[in-house]
Amino acid sequence: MHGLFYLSVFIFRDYNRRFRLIIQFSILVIVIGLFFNYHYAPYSYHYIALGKSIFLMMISLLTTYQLSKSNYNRRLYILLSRVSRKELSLSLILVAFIIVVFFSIILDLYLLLLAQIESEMLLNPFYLTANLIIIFLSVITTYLFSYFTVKRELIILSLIFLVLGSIPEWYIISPLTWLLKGISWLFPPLSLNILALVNKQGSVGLFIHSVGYGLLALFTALILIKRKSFSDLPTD
Amino acid sequence: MICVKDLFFRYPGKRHDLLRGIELKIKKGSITGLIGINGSGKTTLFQILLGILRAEQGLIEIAGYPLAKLPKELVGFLPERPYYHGNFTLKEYLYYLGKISSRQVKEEELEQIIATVDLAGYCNQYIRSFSKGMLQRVGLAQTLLHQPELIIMDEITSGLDPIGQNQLKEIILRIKQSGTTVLISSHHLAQIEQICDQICLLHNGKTRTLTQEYFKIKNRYQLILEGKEEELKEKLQHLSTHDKLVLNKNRLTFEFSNDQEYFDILSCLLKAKIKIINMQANYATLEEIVLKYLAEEGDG
Repeated sequence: MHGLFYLSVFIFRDYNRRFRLIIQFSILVIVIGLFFNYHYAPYSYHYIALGKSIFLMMISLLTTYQLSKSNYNRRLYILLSRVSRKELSLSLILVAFIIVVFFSIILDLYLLLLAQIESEMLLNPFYLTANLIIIFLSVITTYLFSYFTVKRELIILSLIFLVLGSIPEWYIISPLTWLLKGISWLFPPLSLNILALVNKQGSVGLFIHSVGYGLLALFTALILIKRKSFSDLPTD
Repeated sequence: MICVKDLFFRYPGKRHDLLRGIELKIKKGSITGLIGINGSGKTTLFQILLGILRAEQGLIEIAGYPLAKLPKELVGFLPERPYYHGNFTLKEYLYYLGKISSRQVKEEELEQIIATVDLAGYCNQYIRSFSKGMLQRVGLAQTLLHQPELIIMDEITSGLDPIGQNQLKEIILRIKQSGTTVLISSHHLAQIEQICDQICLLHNGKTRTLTQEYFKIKNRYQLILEGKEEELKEKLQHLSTHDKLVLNKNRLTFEFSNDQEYFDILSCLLKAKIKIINMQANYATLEEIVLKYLAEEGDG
C-alpha cells in the first residue's frame, strides 16, 4: 500500500508537470460557458444531472487515455522493475479517478456558488454516490481498452463502450435487436446510473450491478495487462 | 544467485525461437558479462529475467526464488537506452523511486548514492537537461537505490566517451565490493574482459561460458605509427615482413608465430625508421569470438 501511494503521487506529479491538466480545465471552462452559464441560472436539476454526467464521462475518458498514453513508453521499464503490473494499473486508475473527482467537485462548487443551485440538490448522498459510480465505470472502461491492455487499433473501443453504455436501450435502433440485446450486458451500465441520477431513483440492485461490472472490467484489465508484451515500447 | 535452465522464448508472430534452451548459472557477488552480436537476444533474456517478457518454457530462479515469486526489490535494472522521467529533478526522482520500492531511503543515503555516481552537483537540476553520460549515471543511481542483490545492466557503455566508460567501470567494481551480483551486456569486449569474473556468449539462442583465451589473441599486436597512410605504405612495401602486416590508416596490425618473428618484424620497422607511437596486445573482435565458437561447435 505504501509503494502504491507513492507510485500514484509520482504518476500524478509527472502528469501534472507535462501540463496535461490544461485540457481538462479548458473543457471545464467550455462546459461552464456553454451549458451552465450563471447568467441564465438557475438550471433544473434534470438538466444539471444530465450535463454533469456527460462532462464526467468526457473528463474520465480524456484523463485515463492521457495517463495511459503518457506512461506507455520506455520510462515504464524503470517503474516495472520496482512494481508489479497490477500495482501500476491500480495506480493509474486511482490517479485518473482522483483527477476526475477533483473536476467534479470544481463544477459542483461553481454550480453552488455562482449558478444558484440549492445545496440540498447537489450535496445529498445519492447525488454524490451516482457521480462517483459514473466516474468509476468510465475510468475502468477506458482503462480496459487502453495502451496497457489492448492493441493500439482497439483503443477506440473505449469510446464505443462509453457511448453505447450511456444510451438507454441503444440496441433497439438495429434490426439485430435480439442479438445486440443479448450482449448489451457487456457494456457499462452508465445509462442506468444517469437515469437514476436524473430521476433521483436508485436501487441497491443497480449499485451492486455497477460495482460488479466495474470489478469485472478491472479484473479483465489486470489479466490483459499481465499478458501484454512490453518488449518494444515507444521512446515517448 | 541466478539459475536458468532450458529457457525457450519466441516473439509473437515469429517462426523461430529466439532463445533455444538457455542454461546460465551465476554466482553470488560475481560480475558476469553477456556478449553476443546484435539481435542475439541479450536484451530479451534480460527482459525475461526482469519479468517484462514471459518465457514459454524453462526454469528461472533468482536468489532462491522462482521468477514469479521474486520480490522486486531484489533486482535493479539499468536499461540500454536511458529514458527517465525528465520532469523531475534528480533528487526528487530518486526520492520517489526509493519510496515506490517500499524502502526508506534517508536523506544522507540519497546524497551518498548521488555522490557515488558523481552527480553531487546536479541534485536540483531537471533530468531532462542531463547529457547521455549523466543519464547513464542516473540509471546507476536508481539501481543502487534499493540496495538490490542483483543488478542487470544492458549495453552499459553505449554512447559513453572513454572517460565515462572508465568511470562506469570503477563504479561497477565498487558495486561488486559491496557483495552485489552484477550481470552486464556490452559490445566493449576489452572492458568486459577486464571487469567480469565470467563471460557468456549468447549465440543461436544458446549460451556458452567462455574462457580467457577466447578474448586475447596472444600473438597479435596493434601499433599506432607516426606518419600518413601513403608514406607508411611506401615504407612498409620494402620490408621483408611485408606480407604479415596489415595497415589501416596509421594503425598497423601484425601476427607472429614465434618470438623470433616478433623481433624480426619490430626490427624491420625500426630499420625503416618508422616511429611507433603506441603498441598494445590486440583483443579478439566479437566476430572472431563467434567464428571460433562456431568452429568449435562444428568440431564438437
